[in-house]
Amino acid sequence: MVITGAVLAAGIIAFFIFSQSEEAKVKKQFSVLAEKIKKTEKETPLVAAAKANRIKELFAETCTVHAPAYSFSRDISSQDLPSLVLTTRSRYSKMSLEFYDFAIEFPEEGSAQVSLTARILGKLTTGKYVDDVHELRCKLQKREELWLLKEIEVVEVLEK
Amino acid sequence: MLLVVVLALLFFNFVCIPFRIKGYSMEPTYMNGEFNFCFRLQYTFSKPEKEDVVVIRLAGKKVMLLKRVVALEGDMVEFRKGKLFVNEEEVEEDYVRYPSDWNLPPRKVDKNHVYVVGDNRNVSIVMHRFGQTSIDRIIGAPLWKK
Repeated sequence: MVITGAVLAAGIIAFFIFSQSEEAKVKKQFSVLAEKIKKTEKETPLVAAAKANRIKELFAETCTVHAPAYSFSRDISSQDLPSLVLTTRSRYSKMSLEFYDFAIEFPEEGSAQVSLTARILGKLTTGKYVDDVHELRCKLQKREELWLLKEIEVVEVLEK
Repeated sequence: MLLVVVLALLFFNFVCIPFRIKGYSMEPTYMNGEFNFCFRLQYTFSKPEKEDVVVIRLAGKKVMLLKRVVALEGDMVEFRKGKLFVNEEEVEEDYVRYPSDWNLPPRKVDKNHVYVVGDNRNVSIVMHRFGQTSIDRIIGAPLWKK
């Protein structure tokens, strides 16, 4: 009875620790993404190119992006990502990306679903300030101990 | 002492969530930078009504939207030259102080949804975030009403 209880408790603790560490790994990927997106006014083109190139390491071979509010749905290959990121970041003189309110689930082995709030803060090269928040639902797949972004949906919280 | 801390944590997480307004969507009623609390018990026994200012959650409570309810489920909402029409009738909106030129074709508010808009319509209709949202997303109302 005591041994059964101890094994059960050990199993629960192991599961808890395992889940915690996987959650931490998923969160870490978003924190790295935020770090790579961040741009300061002093950033050189070389640093910008290096950052854009390294972003693809956070994504699966193909990542599907849905944004119903903007009638946008597209499969983006990891090879196309650096140029897309470079173009987008070039519109900003400075920018940052913040993530809040993570809700992480693991529906099956090697797969994670994340719901979160993303906030983009920045200043466009035109001088206009940007402060935009969106709820995102993301799917990630695990490849060699790394959680890679496979799907991103921009949730339409307010539907015009 | 510990009890006070625990009670305070519970109170500020589940009853009155402090927040600071960032943005101009609800001006001049609520100004950018103002401090307020989201009173979470506001809709415990009732549903949001027209003209209520409500707090809408995104994925959680860290970043929320502050908007005004202008129509309820089943209503037809429309904007004509900046004027709000609900069920074909023009709505007097004292809280809208800035001029607007919005035009939006009529649309019906879905079941269990409300239609929310900011008070500041002196921006492009494309740039302003508004529309119908699920009632489940409304987590309260500002404690200090105006």
